[in-house]
Amino acid sequence: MAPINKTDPQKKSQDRVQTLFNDNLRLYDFHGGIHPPQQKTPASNNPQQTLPLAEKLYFPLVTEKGQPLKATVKIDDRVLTGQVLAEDETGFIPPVHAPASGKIIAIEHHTSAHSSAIQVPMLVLETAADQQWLELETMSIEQVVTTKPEHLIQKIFDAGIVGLGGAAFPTATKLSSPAKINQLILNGAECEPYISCDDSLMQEQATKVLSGALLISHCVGARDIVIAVEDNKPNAINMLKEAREKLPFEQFDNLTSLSIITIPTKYPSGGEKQLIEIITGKQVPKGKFPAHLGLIVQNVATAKAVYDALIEGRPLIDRLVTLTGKLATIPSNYLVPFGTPIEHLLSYSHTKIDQLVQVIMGGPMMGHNISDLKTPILKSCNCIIVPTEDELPSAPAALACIRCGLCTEACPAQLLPQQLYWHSRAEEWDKTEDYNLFDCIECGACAYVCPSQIPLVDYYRFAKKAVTDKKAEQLKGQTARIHHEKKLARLKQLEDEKANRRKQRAIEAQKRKEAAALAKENEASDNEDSSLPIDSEPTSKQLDPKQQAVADAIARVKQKKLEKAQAAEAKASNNANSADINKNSGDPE
Amino acid sequence: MDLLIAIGILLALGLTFGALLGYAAIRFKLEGNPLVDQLDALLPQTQCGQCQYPGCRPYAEALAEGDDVNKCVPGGQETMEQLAALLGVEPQELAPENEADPEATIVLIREPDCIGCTKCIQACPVDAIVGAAKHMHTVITADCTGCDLCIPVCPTDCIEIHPAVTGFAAWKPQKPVVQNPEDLQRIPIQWHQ
Repeated sequence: MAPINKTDPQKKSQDRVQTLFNDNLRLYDFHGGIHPPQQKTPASNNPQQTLPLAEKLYFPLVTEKGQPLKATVKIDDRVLTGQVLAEDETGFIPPVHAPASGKIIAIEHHTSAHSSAIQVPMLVLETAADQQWLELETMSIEQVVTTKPEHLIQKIFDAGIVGLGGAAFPTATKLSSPAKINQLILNGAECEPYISCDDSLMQEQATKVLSGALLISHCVGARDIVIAVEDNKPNAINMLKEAREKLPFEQFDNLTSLSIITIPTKYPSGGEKQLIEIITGKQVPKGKFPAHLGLIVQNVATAKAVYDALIEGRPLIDRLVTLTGKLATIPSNYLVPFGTPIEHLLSYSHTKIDQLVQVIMGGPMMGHNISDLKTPILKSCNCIIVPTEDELPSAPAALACIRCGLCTEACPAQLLPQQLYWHSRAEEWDKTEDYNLFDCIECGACAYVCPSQIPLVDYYRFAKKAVTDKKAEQLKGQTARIHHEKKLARLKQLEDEKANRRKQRAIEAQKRKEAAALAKENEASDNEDSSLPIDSEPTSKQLDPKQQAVADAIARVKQKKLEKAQAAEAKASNNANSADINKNSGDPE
Repeated sequence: MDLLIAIGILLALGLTFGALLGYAAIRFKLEGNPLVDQLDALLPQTQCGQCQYPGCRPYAEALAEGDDVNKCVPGGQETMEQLAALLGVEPQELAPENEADPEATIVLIREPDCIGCTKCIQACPVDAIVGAAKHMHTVITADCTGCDLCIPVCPTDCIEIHPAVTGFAAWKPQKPVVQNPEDLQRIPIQWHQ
């Protein structure tokens, strides 16, 4: 074999490429799941459209998790496309970039896309007529593969990339996991009904998606790449397989496989933990991340964003959003710049705004209603549904739970939804935690199958928030108790020190008194026999330095006195001596 | 003879277990009253003194001695019920002026008005105010328990009460309505038919 390889390197690389394409992996299944009507057409069949810039774009200065962002621009600043508008000072959330050139005209309160629909401060960018990009730093694939992964991950962070599957978790944080990663799973399942933005992306930009996957695998050192697509997207699978033939595999020596696999359509196969179970047959342990199993899961749109960021130097400023529902005149996938109000998308696509029943952001299973059409479309928004009343009727009143157990069969997390329901309803928080409330992924499969139409997920969201708040309160209480105890201990210490000082002073005063008395005594004896000053020496045998000093002083005085007495003027010198004694006895203090 | 054996056995048993108990009493001696710790853990640790005790632990000690369970103002109805359950006493009515479910608050110093008298620093039971004499003070909001002890001592009234959580964190998902009242009315109608 060796001589052949030497003479024909092209043949060798072709052989390698053939071994890389391993599409017949054994698949596993996860517990439960449901098969709701897909409703992906007609949006998925229509070609992608680029939404023109809205007049004003809005950027919240607080993330949906509540972290404040610091604006890096001021009102009246002119910004170029791709310029950073806001960043997180704690360095966790990637920066927000301007999707268009224009002028910052205000910071105002507007309705956020959060389910609470509360008003948050937002930067308002008025888009200009002439659009100009910031200068971009491009890289070739050769340059990327010779760059250290840390630098690449920093570039991914600086490009503002978050997971585009819906959770918007910072991608750089996911990629910089210290655990050894063997396998990269690219999530193209897109299991939720109505949504087709990933499908459309894979069909139209398959090469970028796959190149992005190669770059991510280089960043984390993964040797295997698996791209999982549900079998309801045959076009996407074909396009991916076609694009795979032309990838620059010779740049990625460590890669051992790049599999494009078709998984059965079942909701929620696109959930991170569910997809891992389908592909590896393993479950991510409670409280652990997929990295614990040597895995990393990225959405296909995230992979494309990574390609854009590393190769083209282009930050994440727009995304594909599915506009669908029976009220949408042109249901399709639109390339929407972030910060665009939903209203702009609806009016551009000629949706009859006056007939709207409800507007859902996200899919029908996990999304939420939007009350204000000025709400901006941000990184986590993959779909806008404008259904008619018949299409997605509002939930009927819930009936009593009949304990049929269908929810347990449907739960992909293998929880007991019924027990969680009872305990959440009764607000027995300890019990909800015993039944692993926080392992619930809120996929809504239980509520979908419930014959009594109980809004189960609403109960779980309510319980999760209550438990989280309770825990935060307890933690704060504990901190407060520790602080209070420390303060009490400190006050007690100060009090003790004060008492000690007082005691010390009392002792000293006592000693001074004794010393003074002693001096007086000596003086008296002195007067009796002034010719023998050495007689007073034995009094200084006490070891106390203060008393010693006093005695010394007295001795000195006596010496002086003797001299003066010898000189004459006995009466005058006597007066001076008594003054000196008083002065000197005070000195040791 | 049998009698003596019986007495002997009982005596031996008594001595053995007595020695065991005596050893256990020394070896497994509990420091302090564990009930006080349990009660203290239930209290909100605001250290506000509204129970007329100088802090949460003194109140916990008083509770262990049999004091009323309805004195904790920031704890509200829920804490009162938990205390009653732990002590095995009947729940008591909260004082009417105290809310059943008080909102968590913090204080903020209106900084331009602060004269730097340090009075609030001394009053704060959890060291949540920083500053120096004749310099502006400020509240470490993460540590503030909302006890409001700093408010009466402030000579310039520059301390304000604010809600402890704001924004998205303050939002709570609604608890779904358990049953539509109309459904309840429907049942007897069907029954009469």
